[in-house]
Amino acid sequence: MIGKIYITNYHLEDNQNGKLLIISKNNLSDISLLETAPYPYKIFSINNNIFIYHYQVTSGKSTLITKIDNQNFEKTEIKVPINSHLIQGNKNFYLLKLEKDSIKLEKRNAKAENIKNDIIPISSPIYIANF
Amino acid sequence: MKRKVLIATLIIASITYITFVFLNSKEDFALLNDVDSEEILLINDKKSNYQTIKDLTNEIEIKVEDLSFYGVAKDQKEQYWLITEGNNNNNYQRQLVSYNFKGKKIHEINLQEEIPNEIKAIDNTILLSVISNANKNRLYLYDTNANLLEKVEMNGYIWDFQKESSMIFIAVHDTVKNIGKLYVYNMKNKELKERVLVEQFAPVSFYMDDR
Repeated sequence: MIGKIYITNYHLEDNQNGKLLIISKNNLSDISLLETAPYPYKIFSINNNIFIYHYQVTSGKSTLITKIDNQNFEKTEIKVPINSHLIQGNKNFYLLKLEKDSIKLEKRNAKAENIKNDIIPISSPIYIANF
Repeated sequence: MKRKVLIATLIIASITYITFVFLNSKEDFALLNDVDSEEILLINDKKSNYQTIKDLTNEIEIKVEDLSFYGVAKDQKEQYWLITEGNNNNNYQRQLVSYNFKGKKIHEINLQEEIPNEIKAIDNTILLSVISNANKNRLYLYDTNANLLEKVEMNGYIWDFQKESSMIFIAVHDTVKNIGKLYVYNMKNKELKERVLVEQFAPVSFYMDDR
């Protein structure tokens, strides 16, 4: 097997920075570390761009996505609407914002650009589960 | 060390409690989005007892009668896999079910007493993680015809898992030792290897490339 495994790690005790572990598939002892913003909950990739979604445990809100260049591991932090939640896809990702009578769905491409907005009507309050 | 284990245990317990509260909420809807590389939205409507699978990639929307609180996965046969729970003839039951893209139920398997945690469909395998007890988790592997292929047991809480060819990578937080671990399971020779990653951190999610 060739390539790397990228694992997000978050510190369970307090609001310390998270870690991104970069591990060689051929040698699992070959581990590099990259510091990230706190609570790096979900890592995903679209068109070779790596994204980390940060889940703010203390507030229950997600407000930050980190984009990482997988050549030089340069980090770009992207602020997303407060209270938004993530759906990762193969070509795009989506940010959901829960409103009183609707779900606002923001579609973003591999560059994290907003390319489409949808509104799904609902009749009752919605709660996020399975996080 | 005992303090750290206690704190880690409390955090896991809090997450479990919050999940429990969500699952038992009297509100009408719950929204799940932990779907791993599939653009699917799952909307539960507890009040009218149906839920909607909204596949954003294929613009398919189907309504199913089973309520799921554990996510949704889509396999290569375009089947949607759900973990459901509810009363069946007065018996509380958790099931693994699949629906086709027309909303017809295809498979239905009764699960054990363990608590389902996360489901993924990768290649032709359905992977389901379950919590057996405080520091013991299992990963069940099924084929797309719902036949059980493997049952792999690990020490620690399974946060995430991925499959590549016949190898399965599993990110685990050992809540007793408070260490992050990576397990690698080889489906060909049924060998399970353990690698300690980092102390005091929980490995929550991962992605693999092939470059």
